[in-house]
Amino acid sequence: MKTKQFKIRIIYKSIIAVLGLLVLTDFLLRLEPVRDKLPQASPYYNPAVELRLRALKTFVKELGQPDMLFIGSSVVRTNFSPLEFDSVFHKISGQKIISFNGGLSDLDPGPVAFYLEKFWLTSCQPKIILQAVRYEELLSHYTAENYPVFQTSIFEPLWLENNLNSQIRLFLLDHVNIYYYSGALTEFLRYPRFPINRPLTYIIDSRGHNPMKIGIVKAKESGLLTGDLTYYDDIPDSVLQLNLNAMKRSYDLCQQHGIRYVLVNMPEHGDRFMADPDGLKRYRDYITILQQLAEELDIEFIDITAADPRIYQNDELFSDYYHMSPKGTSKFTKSLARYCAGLFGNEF
Amino acid sequence: MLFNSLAYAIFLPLVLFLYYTLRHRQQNLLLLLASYIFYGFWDVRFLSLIFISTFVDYGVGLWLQHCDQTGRKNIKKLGVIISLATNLGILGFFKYFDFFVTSADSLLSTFGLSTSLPVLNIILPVGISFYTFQTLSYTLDIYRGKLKPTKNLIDFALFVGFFPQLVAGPIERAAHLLPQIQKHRVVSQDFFYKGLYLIIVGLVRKVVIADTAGAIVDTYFANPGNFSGIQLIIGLFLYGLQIYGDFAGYSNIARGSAYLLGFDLMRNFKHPYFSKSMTEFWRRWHISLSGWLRDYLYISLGGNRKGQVRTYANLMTTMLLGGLWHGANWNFVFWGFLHGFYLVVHKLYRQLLPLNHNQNGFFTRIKQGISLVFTLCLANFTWLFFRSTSIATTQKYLNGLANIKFEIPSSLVTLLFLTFLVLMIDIPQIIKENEFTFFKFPVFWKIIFTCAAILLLFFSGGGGKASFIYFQF
Repeated sequence: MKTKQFKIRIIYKSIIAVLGLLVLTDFLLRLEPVRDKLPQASPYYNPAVELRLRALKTFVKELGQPDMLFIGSSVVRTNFSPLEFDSVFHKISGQKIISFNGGLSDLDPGPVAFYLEKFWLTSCQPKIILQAVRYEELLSHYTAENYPVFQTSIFEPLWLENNLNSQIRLFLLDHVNIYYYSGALTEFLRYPRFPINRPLTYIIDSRGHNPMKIGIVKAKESGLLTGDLTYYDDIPDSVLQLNLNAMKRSYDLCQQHGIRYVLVNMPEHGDRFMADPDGLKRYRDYITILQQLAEELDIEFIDITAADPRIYQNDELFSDYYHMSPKGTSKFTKSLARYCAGLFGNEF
Repeated sequence: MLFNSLAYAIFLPLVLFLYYTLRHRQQNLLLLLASYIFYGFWDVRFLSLIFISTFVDYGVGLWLQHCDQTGRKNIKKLGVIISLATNLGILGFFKYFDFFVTSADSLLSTFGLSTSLPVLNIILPVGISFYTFQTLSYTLDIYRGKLKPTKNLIDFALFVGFFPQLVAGPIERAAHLLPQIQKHRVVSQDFFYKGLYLIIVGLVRKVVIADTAGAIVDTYFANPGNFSGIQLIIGLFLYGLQIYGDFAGYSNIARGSAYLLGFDLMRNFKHPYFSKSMTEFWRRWHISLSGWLRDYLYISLGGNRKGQVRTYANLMTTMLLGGLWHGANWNFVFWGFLHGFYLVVHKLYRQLLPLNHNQNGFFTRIKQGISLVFTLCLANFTWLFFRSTSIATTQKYLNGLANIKFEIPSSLVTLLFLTFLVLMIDIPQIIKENEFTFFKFPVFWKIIFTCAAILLLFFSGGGGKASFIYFQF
């Protein structure tokens, strides 16, 4: 062993060399052609969030701020086509609008409000926000704090912490690309795919829409829907109240930002209700609850089923019991656009 | 405080900065304080257990010396009994109390005896198994006359609580670590580079290899029934990489941090998956624990000095207790049993077919290759019992393994990539029989490998959240 004391300049040299490497890499990551060839970054709870954010940034750069943002769970992601919506809205009202699909998988009203506050309202400034819910989303309640899928992510726990450490880390995530890409390799290796820049889960269009392909008949044959049973339960009062509070939170956030908030019922396959003798009543009670909430908040509530699940009791319209097929998406989007054109046609 | 956390990335440079400006005695004080802060990050309350172990063994050490000097050998044993009772008592209570209570409860209920034995849901203090064994070795070595006790309490407390190896080893011997604490240390250029190298390699092993493998392994073990036999086989090899990367990674970072402080800790892993027998595997895997078990348990039981049957019984006992050391769960005991069984079988095999050291031909190499692959497969299969959290999961996993259909799952890509990384680290070391052969590489390759390692680290990981597996032991 050499016993000569090491020279302190080794440390400086090492630090400078590592920093140089990181700065160079960070610069390269700012170049679109480089990023396009790399595995997708995944600092959010779901890889689709990153895809949405990229699409939204491009959208805002090219078209400006969205007029309407549709938020909610995966049913929004799959069942709402902004391009079709804008076209029908324009045809009826004569107003050109641009809308964006902000549906994200697995988010119930509690996490939706959280994402609205921390993600959507910091990423864009829409004029109207439509939030869709479906019956099943009210059956249980999560807050962002106890939502399991947020625990293992990078961004969401930092949003929750709200202290100096988290503020610094959030700042770094926003400004240091190499930090933003932290975990991208691990995520890629969990589900390796080729070419390596292929998005992990969803292919979305320029407006954030992720159309479903597999039909319900095929899904039933493959046994993919065995877990999706008919609703036999009413919504427990305590859970309902928590979910209504979460929707009120979304409303409050919109109010604070001067954004109009609209509540939408997302239709499900009619079989989920009609297979049970109490299903129709259960569905109507649920619609009444949403109507009462809308009245309380003095907001619009849109239910294109007119409180009757049988309007959407058709296999052709669905890919499973709640994600719609392209045909169902088109039907729902057009109905919603017609309804919205009547409501907001003069506001743009 | 995790080695792969931002907290440690701030803590270590801060300690080093202060350390380099101080003199020897002040350095020891600083390290002791830093070690307690390091441990207190988990739970300050459990520092009290370290204090108890420290004071008891410090006192017992001096007592044993006093007995030797005054010729009172008849009461010398009392000191050892006090040390064993205190250390193993604490370990037994915190680690095994609930396990033995629930096991006794289950056993009694199988005989129709209903009991309501109390379960205390005790929190396991991090690293208790490691520092307990380390401090015990000090007392036992003094008792055996192999070591002289230290009179300096600070030095001894630092020996017990030295932060780089406090929570997951290597389990150091006093004869190796104490003199380094006592003498003036020089952090040479050689030590400095070795330290940096080991920290970077350790982080790659942990963050890139172990955590990535762990993400897939967790999915497979959560629901083995959802995966095919091929996927589950890949899962076992991935777990083999995970636990190796995790533990060897920890040991590398521990040794690297120690090098930066001027300490040379013992090597804990020596390419275990390149072993040609399970006996060799245990000479290369968790070397500090297997050495401890050999010196203080196996040899104390009689080792191989009391006939064949006793040798095999001693081996089995040692490995069963070694399994239990890892955790208070029957899965660990069974894992230890299997390894004991493998060692006994290998001993028998070697008695029937003694190793011919002169063979160096083509067929010998083929035979060695087969032995290597067989040992690798056996060790990885046996990890199943180590990783399973319950007997039910083990059964489901075993059933799933039988469900073989030909396919190429995407996780095979991950396995091949991670194996490639392990080989990139290990193969040059094996060929040159030098852990630090990297420093003999041409400058160009040194730069390439260093840059690649740093970038891999930045693109991997999940925000530094994944703990080390061996912390739970």
